Amino acid sequence: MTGGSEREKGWPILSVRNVSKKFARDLRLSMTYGLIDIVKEVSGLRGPARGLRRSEFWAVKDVSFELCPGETIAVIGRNGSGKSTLLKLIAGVLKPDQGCITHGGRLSVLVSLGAGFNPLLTGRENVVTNLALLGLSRREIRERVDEVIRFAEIGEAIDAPLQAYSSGMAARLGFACAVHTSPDILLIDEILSVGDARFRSKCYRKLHDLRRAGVATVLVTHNTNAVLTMADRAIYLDRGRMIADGDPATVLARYEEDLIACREEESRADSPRTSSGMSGGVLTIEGIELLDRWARPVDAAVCGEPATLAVRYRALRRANGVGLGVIVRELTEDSDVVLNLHSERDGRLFEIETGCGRIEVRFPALGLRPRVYSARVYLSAPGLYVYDLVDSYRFRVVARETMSQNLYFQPREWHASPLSDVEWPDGSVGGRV
Amino acid sequence: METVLTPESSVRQPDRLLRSMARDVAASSVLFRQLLLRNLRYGYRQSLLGVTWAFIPPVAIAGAFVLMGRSKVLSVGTTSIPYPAYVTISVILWQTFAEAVNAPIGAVAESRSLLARLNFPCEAVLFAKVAEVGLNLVVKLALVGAVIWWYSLPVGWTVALVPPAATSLILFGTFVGMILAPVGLLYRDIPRAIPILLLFWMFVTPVVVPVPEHGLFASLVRLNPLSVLVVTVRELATAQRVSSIGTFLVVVAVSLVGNTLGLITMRLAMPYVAERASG
Repeated sequence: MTGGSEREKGWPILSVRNVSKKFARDLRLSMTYGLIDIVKEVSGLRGPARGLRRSEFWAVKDVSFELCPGETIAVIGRNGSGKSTLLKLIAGVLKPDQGCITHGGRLSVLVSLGAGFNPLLTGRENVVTNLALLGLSRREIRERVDEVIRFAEIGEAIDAPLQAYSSGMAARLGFACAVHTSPDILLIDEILSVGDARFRSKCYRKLHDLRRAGVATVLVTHNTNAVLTMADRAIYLDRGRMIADGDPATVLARYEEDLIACREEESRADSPRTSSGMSGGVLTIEGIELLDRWARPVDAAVCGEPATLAVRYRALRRANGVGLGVIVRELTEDSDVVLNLHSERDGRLFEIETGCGRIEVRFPALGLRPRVYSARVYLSAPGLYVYDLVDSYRFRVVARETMSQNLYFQPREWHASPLSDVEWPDGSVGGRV
Repeated sequence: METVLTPESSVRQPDRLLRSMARDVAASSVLFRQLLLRNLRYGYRQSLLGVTWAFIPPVAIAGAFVLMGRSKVLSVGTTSIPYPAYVTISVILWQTFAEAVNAPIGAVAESRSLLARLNFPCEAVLFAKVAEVGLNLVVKLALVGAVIWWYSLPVGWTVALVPPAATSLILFGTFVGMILAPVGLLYRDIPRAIPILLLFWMFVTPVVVPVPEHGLFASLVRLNPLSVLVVTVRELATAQRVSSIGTFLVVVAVSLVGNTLGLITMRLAMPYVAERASG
């Protein structure tokens, strides 16, 4: 049960109004400004900042949003865009330089799991200290310690010093502490990668339960799946400024467009299409193309339609048993692999003659959702002997239909038949209620 | 309960500041206890000698000065009680003061990365550290008792006043520590300068030599508020006439006010320290 059982949905529980925060780039000046600010704070002279001092920049500038109970807002943006600073401002760790933050109820922070854990103390001792740090009373700690330990699945190791734990076990313990604090507002900063897949899904379930119980959540993440599946709204920060606010899919699309533009600019400098020529030029990748259903080269493939990835090669001598590998990731920071294909695993190895040629992988219906992707493409022989690879071939997938609620394209057919014609698994026909 | 965070200085609304501070201090009693337990367990967990470490530094320092006194390297002068007893008791009191001076900066510095990530009452961290100094003092007072017994020093009812009177050293120490803390948490020069400051301070306090009668050094020792604290506690412990109770009480009162103002200052300074801490 959460502390906010009496909350009514509809009234904002968190309000962020025109909030700004500035930092200094120069360390020495930052310390001087810190001292000046402390003197101003203590003497009562400090008010809203009027502008920037020498070497300062806005880490967060004019950010405004409101959050109602049970609502989840995702904050997205590149590294250094001000997401974590915004979270620290809401948590009250930092003081805003402009604007105002108002919130009601208990606020809990899921950041740096296990902050405050001590390696020489046992898991149990650390849990108690951590719960106290997160603001729980003696009675609440007594009631929840066992629940936290059960959730973290530490077992008998709970009475062993923390230094004997794996990093995953410590992170599980940290997550378990943070989600058992009965918050009204939960601030989450990039911590949804704890433990194995099973424990991760357990964490997601717990967060889902908290949201259903009315906990408002601010989620900072690079994980697009988490944004699409958990958030009701998203805001996009770029160099501290709020670029977009609204439906997660729309905001994410805007973020990814900017990210692509930025990455393309970067990629011009490091020319990722250039192959590495690892095998001394015996078999090299000369070019990669994305082809549409009519085998025309395109910049963007269409989700759900036929597509082909064609790899042009040059062989200086004959090569037997060559396989084509393709590892695809979404072009967002910290994204997981979405496809890992290799022709050898599909039972296809190719005989390559001297000269130029092409190996293709054809997708009858491209399942990737609309995003920008980066593919590692390589030619190899069995035993992981890599002839050549292209580390980052970027391509785009667009959609003819809305895909914002789907993680991948599912080819499908819809049918309807009169009930009397439907044959049930037990062999009976129609008429069932 | 609604929380409002704005850029305006919190001292502009003193009632709200004091209320939130009182609320935090009350609510952080569990955290204080846990942090103290953590520090104590952590302090002695990977140690063979454990709590004995509370005795070793004063005994070692006192031993060194006794040797210097005996070999005439140091001109000790006349002390009211046997010199080894004098110097051991004084060094224990001095060390308590020195630990208290280091407590505010040490407490926040140890929790720096935590304070940069979580918003929790920094007072709990500070209180836990000061309580650690207090517990160390309790252990060291047992050594004072042993010294009194060993040298068969006279003991009067005033010995019961030694623990509360010795607490004045902690109060004065944390007062000095909190004056230095806001700057010391930003600039590392202060933590580096503290040992030098303390070394100088020790020599203008009647710790290893008695109060001189005349001269500039005598004036410095008399102007030093710490002198009256050390002398009074020593007098209470060894059943001597308390020479300056009035000044002692004034220093204690100033320390109490100073600690309250220091706590408020540290609370106000904490977001600016957190901003510059890693995390």
